[in-house]
Amino acid sequence: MDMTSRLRVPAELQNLGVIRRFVQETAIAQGSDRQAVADMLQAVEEAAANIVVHGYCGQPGDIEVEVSLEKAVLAVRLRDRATLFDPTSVPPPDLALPLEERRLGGLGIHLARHFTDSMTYRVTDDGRNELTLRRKIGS
Amino acid sequence: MNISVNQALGRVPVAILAIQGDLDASNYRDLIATAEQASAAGTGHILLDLTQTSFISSSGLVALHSIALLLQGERPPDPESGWSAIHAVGRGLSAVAREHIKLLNPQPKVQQVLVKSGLAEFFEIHTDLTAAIASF
Repeated sequence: MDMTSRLRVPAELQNLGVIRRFVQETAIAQGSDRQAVADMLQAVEEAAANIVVHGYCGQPGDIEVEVSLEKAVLAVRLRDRATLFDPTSVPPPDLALPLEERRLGGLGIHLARHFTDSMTYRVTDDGRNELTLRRKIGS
Repeated sequence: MNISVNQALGRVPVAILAIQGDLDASNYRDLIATAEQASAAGTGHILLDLTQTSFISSSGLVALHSIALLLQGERPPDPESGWSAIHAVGRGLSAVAREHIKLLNPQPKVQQVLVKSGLAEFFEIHTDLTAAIASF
């Protein structure tokens, strides 16, 4: 049976810790392993921070966080009403370049990609951004 | 997150900035500000004690990057000017900065993020406080 829990919080930087704690406690309670949860927290932080900073740009708004365990996959969905933007379209950094030539921009999305098995984006039927982060448990 | 600042004297004076808690987008500017204050007070060498830091986001990495720039004599971007300005920084980190900022005891998850970002190859990492202070 799939289990799903939701949280809705104002899109403010001080709520990033609230979001991480919710994801951590919910995912553990649902049966995810600690390694999968730790990886997911990294991705959730980066995605949620992007929504607050780049999406809402300081304007008021909400972030809805949905945590579920779906057939041995931990899934976290982030939904917001900020300007429509697909973070999965951000190109990966050129890691072949030496450090001094790399840019830090896009680093958050790079980390989110690295710590999850997949990131997918869609616009919901009611016009919201929805980013789904998935991480297999037990691996 | 709390940051405690202590001074130690090895071959040179070293400011030890110990971070307790998660370093994320909500507080990374506090770390930059603390380093700026230490630098303004004359500190040229900073040891970041990450023993009690279990989480670091890309914003935390930006803070480390900004402090390194500060210690190599460059003015880091004004945090108040926004995330975009800081993330737009493309300036490199020199070997000079490497001698002025070092890390102590990054926890496994933090170390993993440092490695994945490419910053682990820049920062000298220590696991012993005395040795870390003596290395400056």
